[in-house]
Amino acid sequence: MKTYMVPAICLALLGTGAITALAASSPDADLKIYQEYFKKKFPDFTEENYSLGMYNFNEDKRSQWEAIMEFPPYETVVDKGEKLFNTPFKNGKTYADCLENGGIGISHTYPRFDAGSGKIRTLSMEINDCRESNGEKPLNLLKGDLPTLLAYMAETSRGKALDIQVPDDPRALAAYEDGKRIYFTRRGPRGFACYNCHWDAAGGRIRGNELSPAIGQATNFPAYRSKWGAMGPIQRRYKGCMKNIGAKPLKAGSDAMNNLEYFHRFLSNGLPSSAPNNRF
Amino acid sequence: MKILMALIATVVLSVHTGVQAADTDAQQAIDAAKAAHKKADSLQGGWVSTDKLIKKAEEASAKGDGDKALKLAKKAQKEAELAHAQAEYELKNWAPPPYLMPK
Ligand code: HEC
Repeated sequence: MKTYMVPAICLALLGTGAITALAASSPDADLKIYQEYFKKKFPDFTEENYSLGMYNFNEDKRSQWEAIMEFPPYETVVDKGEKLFNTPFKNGKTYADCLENGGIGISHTYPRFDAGSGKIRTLSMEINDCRESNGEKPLNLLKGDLPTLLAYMAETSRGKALDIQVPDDPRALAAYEDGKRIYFTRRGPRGFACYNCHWDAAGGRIRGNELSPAIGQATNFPAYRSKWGAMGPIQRRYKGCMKNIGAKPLKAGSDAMNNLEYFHRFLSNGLPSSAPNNRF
Repeated sequence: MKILMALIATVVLSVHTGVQAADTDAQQAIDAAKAAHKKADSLQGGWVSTDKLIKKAEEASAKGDGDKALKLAKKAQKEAELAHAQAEYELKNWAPPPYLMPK
């Protein structure tokens, strides 16, 4: 909420000049500024380049990735996810009974703001709540069947433009702002924030890794990572980056982590979903 | 004989209390470090290295190396305080970089 308060004070102090600042702190205005930055930095980038992430910046890794994509490991996970998705619970109901449009082609619209609870709902939450309301145990958020289900659901949204909505509700804006705060907050012994690597240094290298731009990253998740030897959700990837900068990772499924996912996925709005994908 | 027994008793007793004192100091320091770390965590600001230091301090303490445990716990405490100060500062001062701010 902070940035919404500041312009109000400016307005009182400075008059009309602050009106533009007020208008500019809406999520849509933010996104325009964010997109402009990368348009200038990578003028030749197509939509595909944004999803390619780090593989834009290293020929060898790019051809390795292309070789993997000929028989992508995520495909077997998607098949398994489809079976899980269609297997009825003990009471005979299925995931499709809980989810909008039977769960098909909705993945690219998550996370969503839920007016009932005033909170952000991730697709993982929808899956687990569906299980619990049908008398089944919730699944581990980071490993196993849950990311497998996410992979199948993402496959049904492949190619659809990411569409993360921030409705005009103060609680939705607060959640967006909280995610933004977490994204721009310096943490860990060396005081790194996400943007230091994925904006400032995007396209550069750090410890042998080329850095992907913040915009586009979210189009690839869930992703099958060779490092994990498994399909994993985006929050698992966030935890990895947090650990790498020496900051204690936020808890998967916490409001803070969900708000971060909300903000981070919003950054890729308009880009076609290319999840699940493969990553090193 | 009685004097000797008394002497041995005092020596044993004092060594024993010495060890105990180091242990309590270390335990107190570990508890304090944990509390400071929790405080940093409550602002989403904890560092991974602090967890490791606390774990090492506990291991040293379990092995009876009170001095080492104390040192590690003190270091953990200092780190946790830095992390907390960082988190407090960031809560008030975080901002996108100028190039991502509206002009
Ligand atoms: C010290 C630099 C650094 C910081 C800070 C950092 N990351 Fe990363 N991040 C990396 C590296 C290196 C990779 C792997 C190469 C790549 O894909 O960019 C990566 C990868 C990612 C990916 C996967 C991209 C893909 O296409 O596979 C996501 C998502 C991500 N980071 C999000 C974040 C978030 C959110 C934060 C803040 C909590 C963050 N990162 C902070 C270095 C960093």
